Order: sequence, then structure tokens, then C-alpha cells
Amino acid sequence: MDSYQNIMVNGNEAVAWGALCSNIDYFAHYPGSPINMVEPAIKKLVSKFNMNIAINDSLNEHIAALCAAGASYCGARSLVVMKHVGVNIAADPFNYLGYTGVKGGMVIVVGTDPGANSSTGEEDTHWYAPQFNFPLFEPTSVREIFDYVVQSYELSEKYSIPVLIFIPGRLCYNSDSIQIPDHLYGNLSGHSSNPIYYFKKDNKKYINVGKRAIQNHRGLLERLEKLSQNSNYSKKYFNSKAKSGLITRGLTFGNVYESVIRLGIQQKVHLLNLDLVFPVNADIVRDFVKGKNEVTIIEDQDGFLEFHIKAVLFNKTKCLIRGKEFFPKYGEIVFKQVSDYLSNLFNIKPKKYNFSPCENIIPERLGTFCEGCPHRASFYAIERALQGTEGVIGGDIGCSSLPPFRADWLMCMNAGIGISQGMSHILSRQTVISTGGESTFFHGGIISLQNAVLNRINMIHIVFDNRVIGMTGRQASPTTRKNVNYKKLLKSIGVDRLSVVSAFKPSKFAKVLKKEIQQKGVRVIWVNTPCAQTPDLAAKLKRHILLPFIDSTQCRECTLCYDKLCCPAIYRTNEKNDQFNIDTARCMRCGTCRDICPNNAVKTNFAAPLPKLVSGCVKLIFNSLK
Amino acid sequence: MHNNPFNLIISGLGGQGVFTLTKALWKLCEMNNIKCQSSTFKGGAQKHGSIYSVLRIFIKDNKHYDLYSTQILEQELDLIIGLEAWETLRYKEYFNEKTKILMNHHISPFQIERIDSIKGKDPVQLITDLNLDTLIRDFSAKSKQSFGTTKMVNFLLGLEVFKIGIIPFNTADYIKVFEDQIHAGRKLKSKLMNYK
Repeated sequence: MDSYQNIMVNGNEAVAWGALCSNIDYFAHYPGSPINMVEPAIKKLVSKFNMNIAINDSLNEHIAALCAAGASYCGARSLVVMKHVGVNIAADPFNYLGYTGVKGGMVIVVGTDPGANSSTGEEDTHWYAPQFNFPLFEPTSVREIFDYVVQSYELSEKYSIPVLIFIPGRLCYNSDSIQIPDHLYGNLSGHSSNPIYYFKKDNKKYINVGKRAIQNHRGLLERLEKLSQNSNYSKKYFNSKAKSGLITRGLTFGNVYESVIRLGIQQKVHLLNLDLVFPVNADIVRDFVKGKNEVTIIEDQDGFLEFHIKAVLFNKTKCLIRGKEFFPKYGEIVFKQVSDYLSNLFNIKPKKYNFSPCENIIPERLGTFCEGCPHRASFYAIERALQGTEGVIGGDIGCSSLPPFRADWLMCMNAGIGISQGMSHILSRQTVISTGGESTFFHGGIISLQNAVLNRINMIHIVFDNRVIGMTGRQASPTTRKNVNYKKLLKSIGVDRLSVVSAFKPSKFAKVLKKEIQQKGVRVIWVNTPCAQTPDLAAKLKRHILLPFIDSTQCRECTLCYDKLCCPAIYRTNEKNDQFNIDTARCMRCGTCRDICPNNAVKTNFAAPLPKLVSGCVKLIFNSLK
Repeated sequence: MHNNPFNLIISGLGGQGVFTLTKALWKLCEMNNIKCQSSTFKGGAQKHGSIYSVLRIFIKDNKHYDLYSTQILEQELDLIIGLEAWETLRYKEYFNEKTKILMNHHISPFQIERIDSIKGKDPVQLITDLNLDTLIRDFSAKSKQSFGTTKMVNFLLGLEVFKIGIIPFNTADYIKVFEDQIHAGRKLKSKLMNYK
């Protein structure tokens, strides 16, 4: 028997281990929570085992999907990772990858988010599986994530079809130990040489039009049908002779399994979990419902499995099939809902507790900007410039959307520039200021801007260039290494006016914006200020040298810094009056409060005697050079 | 027969070390061959957001732990380790009459609301009024005193778990595992290793 290596991983890391143990050669991704940690895990392992893997830090999911397909056409095993909403962006190529088929195994891992814990919505991406005609796995544990990534490559190559794996947020951040058989673990250290791949031309496969497209579509459906018939990716528990059945997928399995045991109804129910959620294996389902009076399908979101199971069983059973009559289509299915449902079904009185918690409602800690965040200063400047008007601020995805009230909408990637463009096109009395980070700009915003130029739309777009993809873990963006000449870029696509400002000078920023509002054409304001979490050397030196404070003799309690800028480093010294000061442990020395203070009350001292400051600065410079 | 796992929530704010403590406890379980499910939740904010983790420690029954739910059923919490008072109270729906509360005496304002809907309410008092088995101390001060920084509150709270004897682990192992988890300077690590 094969021995194994025991490793401790979370769901994200399990994807990385599974893919690398499967000998992938190509990895493409666009970061997005909850699946944002696969990329660092892959890079760490590649470095640790000195592996030779082509890594594509893609600018959006569409290009990530196409690049991985290209590698796969040449015979390389590829992995593509994105969050659920990213599938919308990549849907175009995914619709046709099944037609062409793949040579090297291609696995698409998607982080889903029932409950919208780290997303702007909880879109049910499952419906894409039958549209793409890709098989879809939904693991129930971290161990299964690893197993199904490995098996998906075999399946993908056997049936020449990309395989989807959906992992809900809760499982992405779940941790467990997994056992990797030595024959798979050995692939890690054996992957240092670069195999020679070859693209074999095949017009019948790769050029899809008219009859060829129909032929390939038919071929895809036949392969999928074969895969469905030949695979049994499911697990059954409890009493197979019971008259009541429960069917689950993904994380609802654990809730149901444990509820059955807690309630002691193992003899009364039979539980089936479908790991391969699409295509549904008709034989497994028909066999399961045989002899049962009723079956309840318990799953998150829309009822994808219920829909497909009912289709498979239509006119073939007298068994009562139910699901969404009892469980909501929104939010995450929580343990209590499952436990309560089964208690009611079997007339079991729930356990009573002699405790009732206090009734206070604890407010949500809605997202906010970090201390020293350039977005905070930028929004302050925009609000100042629009003060007294009915101006509209178009919001986009990313850290700039964190406090959910600074912009007027929060929807999807590039909704800032897109919706603002439509509004600017027709509004005459209201000024529209479109905003978005540099990551969304390169993700698709640049095309929207080109569109505004093409259609001669009078609009202002502000790009918050903080030089990282901040929200998902500070991955590199095109401006991270300063190798993008955005001035030339914007000029070449025909932008009429470009201003470059620093976020930390909001007075100047507001003046520039006011001036631009009076102009015509496509105007861009590029806010060039690094993220507070990845400070440059100048920011680090400032933090070392300066000690800011609010001079109470000059402060007139206007509360601009506290109530309007809302910097968390500024605090009331006394709850009863409006005296303020700066928490220097939190303050990042961005200087925004000093810039906006109308009374010059924000002052700075040196943080230490001069010799100590100098030696500290030398150390900082030396470390940054390293 | 259902052997309920030991249910633990660690709550706090971004940057307080909820994940570090979670990982240390999880690794300690693994070292002692006790199976443990651990999930962490961080939301979207980089800082000042609510953070929590759920640990389900299968002290009695190890066999089928990965078939169990990753969630805790309401009113089934055995212990909450709170690094901040409001964030401890946030999980009150999970408390029952036997839930233990181990908490740092620290209240963090709601940063962006400023206009505070819970003004005048003291979360520490609200927790005390629940009349549960509660230990609330100023671990920030203790951390500052022992380590010269408030960043070791998570470590001290974790240590308290073993002192109380809730989870039967060796303190020396805990210190070693914790040290592996933190990215700290040599000075702090040395203070940690010599901590008694």
C-alpha cells in the first residue's frame, strides 16, 4: 500500500496541492475572495519544490480562461481559478471550450459565496454548468477538494472536457489535514523539467462555425452523457430501506449528516450526497428514490439540484420530491434550518435551554478604509468638490467600495465607469463622477473608457491607482512595478484631458476636480497614491520621523477630520466634548487631516531625537534596498 | 450515539490575531491527534472589520469528524474567546447556560458609524449581565507589560484556555506552536519562548 504525507491545509491550499500533485503546467487566475489564496499557495509551493509552472496573473477572468485553454490545447494540464462572479466574465469562452474539447486536462475552480460573505451578491453560478455542458463537482470537505482536483484532471482528459469545481466560501477557509499518497507527492519534486508541448492543428475541432459547430456540440453532449453514465461520484449514509430520503450537495451535507445523528433518526432516513452535481447520474437518483415515500433535497441557493433531479424523475416515480418549499433560495442554509426541518418532519421536540441572550442588536461593522488609505482622502475630495450640488458618484468593486455609503452604487466590476457613462450621456443637470481602482480599470474599465471616447461622451472618470489589487490580498496590478505608462496609454486611446493628483492633498484634488467639471470631453483624473498596506519608502520614513498631534489651542471643533474624513486614527479625547487628538500608533502620517484642517490645528513633532531618527532612517533605507 | 464536539468561537477585529490563535489551536489539536474542524471568516475589509473563526474539536469522537457540519448550531457554543467586547456579544445567539466566556476587556468603537446607535451601552456590562461563566481581564495591559506590545493578547487568551483546563494540552507545546505562527522579531519571540 502507498504511504502518504500528512499536510495541514485550508480549502484554498488544498486546490493548490491537488493541482500541483496532478502535474499541472499552467495556472491562470483573477483574484477574488473567497478563492483568493490559491495563487499565493501555488507560488509558495512552486518556489519550495523548485517547480517549472507557467503562471498567468491575468487581468480578468476572460483572458485567464482563454490562456488556460491555449495551454490545454497544447497538451499541458491547466488550472483556472476565479470567484463566482468571475464566471460571468469568462462565460464567453467557456461556452465554446466544450465544443473544441481539451487535450491536457483543464480544471476550473470557482469560489462561490452563498450568504455573500465576501461579495456584492450571492449569484447561483450552478446554472452555468448545463449551459457550458461541463461536469461540476462540489466537494463537502477540504480532503475532498484535494481528491476531486486530482480526479478532475483524469476525467477532463478522458472525456476531453473542462471540469468545474465549486467551493463555497465557508469551505475555502476551512482547515483540515489531508493525506497525500507518495506517488502524488512525488510529482512535486519531479516537476523541474519543462516538457515539450505541441499544438496539433485540427480545423474540425478548433474552427467552429455552421455544421462543424453543430457537430462538435453534439459530440460534447455525447461525451457528457457517457461521463454521467460511467461515473458514480456520490455517497450514501444511514438506512437504505427507510421511507424518507434526503439528498444534499456541498456544505449542506454536513448540516444534514450531523442533524440526523443529533436527532437519532438514523433508522428513519436514507441520505444521498451527490459530489458530481452536474450531470446528475439518473441511475443513482432513480435507484435512491425506489421504495421511498418522500425525498427532500436540501441545498443552498436556487434549487439547482432539485430542478435536475425532478427532470430525471419526471413521470418515473410516485415518490414525493420536495426541497425549496421548506428552504429559502437566498442566503446560506444554516445548521438550525436543517435541524428544525428534520425535527418537524419526525415530530421530535427540540432541545430546551434555560438561557435567553440579551436582546441588543449589535450593529454590523460595515467595511471601512484603513488609516492612511488614499481612497478615504479621495472620497473626501470628491465630496468637497460636489458639495451643495446634486452630484452623483459612481462606485466600483474593490477597496474603494468598502464603506458602503461613499459612492452611490456598488454592483460589479466596472459598474463605476459603465453606469456613469450611461448617466453622463443623458443627465444634464447633475454632475456624474465615475470612480474605480486601477485593477478594475485594467480588468475592463479601459474598454469602457475607449467606448466613451468613441461615442464622444462628456464624462469624468477617476482612477484610484494604489498600485495593488488591495481587497483580495494585495496581488500585483499592472502599475505595481511602475512599468505602465498610463499617460501615454490614455493619450493614445483619445482621452481629452488627464490630470494626475495625490490623494493626500484633497484640497488640491478638489480644486482640480471642480475645474474638470467645467470642461467637456472625456476627462480622467489619475490618483497616484500607494495603498496604506503596501507603503513606499517615503511613507515608511514619514511614519518613522513624524509624530502628529492636534493642537487643542487651535482646534475649533469643526469636526471635519472626525465626522467627514472619518479617519480611525482620530479620536475624541473626551466623550462629553469635541476635543480630538491623533492615535499615533494607528496614524500612517498620510497628512490628509493636516491638509483639510481649516484652522491649522494638526501639527507635527519629530518622533525622537535627531541621531535616533537618522539611524532609524538608514535602517529603513537599507531594508528597502534589500 | 452523538458525541458533540467541543464548539469554540474566537472573535475580534481585523489585525487582532484571531487567525493566528485559531491556527495555533488547530495545530495543537493535530499534534495531539485530536481532530478539529476550523473555519475562519474575514469579510471584505482589510482592517476594522468583524473577524471570527469557528473551531469544532472532536475530543471524544475522531472517526467521522469530516462528515460533520462546519457550522455550530445555535445555543451549542461551549467557549468563546473574545478579543473585543462587542465582537464577543455578536455571537450571543450561540450561547447557552453552560457557555464559557473568556474575554479581553477591550472595546473598539464602530469606526465608520461615528453616529453611534449603541451609544451609552457598555458591552462588558451586557456580557456580565448574562450571568454566564465569564472571565474578563485586561489582557492588553498584561500583554504590554509582558511583551512590550498589545499584540500578544491572542496568545494570552489562548494560554488561559489551558490554565482553565478546558482543552487538555501542554502549555509548552502551545507556546512552541504559537511561536511558529507569528511573524515577529527575535526579541519578541525570545520573550515568548521564555514566558512563564
